[in-house]
Amino acid sequence: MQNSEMVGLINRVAIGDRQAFTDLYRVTSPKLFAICLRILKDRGEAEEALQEVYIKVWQKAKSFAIGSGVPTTWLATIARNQAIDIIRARKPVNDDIDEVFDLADETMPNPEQSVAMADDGRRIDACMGELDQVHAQSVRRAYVEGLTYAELAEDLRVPLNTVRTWLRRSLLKLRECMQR
Amino acid sequence: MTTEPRDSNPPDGGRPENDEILAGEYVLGVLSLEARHRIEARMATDQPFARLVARWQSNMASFNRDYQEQQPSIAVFQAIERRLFAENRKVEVKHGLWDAVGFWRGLSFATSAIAAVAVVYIATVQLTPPATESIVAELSAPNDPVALRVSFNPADGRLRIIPVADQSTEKSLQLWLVPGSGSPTSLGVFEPGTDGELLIPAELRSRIGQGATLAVSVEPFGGSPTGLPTGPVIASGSARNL
Repeated sequence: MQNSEMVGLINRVAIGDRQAFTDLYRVTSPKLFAICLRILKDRGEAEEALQEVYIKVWQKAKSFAIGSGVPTTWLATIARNQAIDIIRARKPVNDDIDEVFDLADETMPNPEQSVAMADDGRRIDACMGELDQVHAQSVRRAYVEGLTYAELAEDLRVPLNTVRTWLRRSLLKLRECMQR
Repeated sequence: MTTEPRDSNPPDGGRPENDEILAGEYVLGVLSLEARHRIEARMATDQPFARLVARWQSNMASFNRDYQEQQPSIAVFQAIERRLFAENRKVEVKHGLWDAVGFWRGLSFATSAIAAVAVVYIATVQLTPPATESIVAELSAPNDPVALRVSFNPADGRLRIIPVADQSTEKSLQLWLVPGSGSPTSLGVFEPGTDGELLIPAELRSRIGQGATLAVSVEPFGGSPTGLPTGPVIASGSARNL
């Protein structure tokens, strides 16, 4: 389905069109279910999460702003947020001590300077290719599987702080690369 | 890999790169639930930060290719429908010109009284119902910010449907022209009690053509105070030649 068709469906959902909601569910639920399942790793929990996801889609369709663009991104974000909130509530993380970082040696352009919002993905793929392979894999697994720093550290058998530094540094490098 | 920078400066939470990292970590999903909630609260009030988050979401969206589609069981959608629609969201229909949506909104009691007198006067002197007298109903659903005002003119058989902001909320609907890039331009606010027509400023007329995107947002009564859409966009679409 074209993005424009999906935008049309979401806009109809926003004005309470139940048929549009049914169509949107039919088209998008396999992907959103896959997201929930991958992160929660339990079919029953993933199905419960999926319910919450579409309740939110119905309620938030009105806030799907024209500016926020890509409907699949909007939907996937709702699903990932739902699934990640559930696992974080289930297994609390107590390692994000700081929200202040000490690895800034680059200056970041401000967000208004970059309008590459409708990214087609090729750019980030290229930039991921510039990262150390292990770091790139960590970034991708954190995103796709919804892993914490601690889980990644355990998996990769490296200290937690090392993983944290890898990922934070990778984020800065990605941003720098994407704005080049 | 570069060496760990170890500068002697005190930590500075205001540095743009820190926000960039924080937004990225939020989108990756590595943070605790508490941190996630803090970030979401900040996004609601800190627009530049919200833009950083949105940009990461957009950038990383290509990772979503890794999720291989899976069919959920049929029971899931049934449960969703039950939860959303079980209490039978009945369409509410209000009859009569006098309680028609927004018809008298914004008018003081005195003005209303004058208007009422005027209508009665016209009706009496003409002895026949004036052709402009319509039957009006507001179609709305609970919790929707938008309603449809239906007016029917029995004399000529014409029925007209106009979107209006929900009567219970002091809101207006505003129409926007959305350019491919840059900020939306207001084309006007739908005035309650009118027939849904907007007079487009002359300098904007040439910009409404094939492919132009139009959107309607819910705004504070009278229109957006900032000149840009502030409320939810309830509908948008592209214009095409008929």
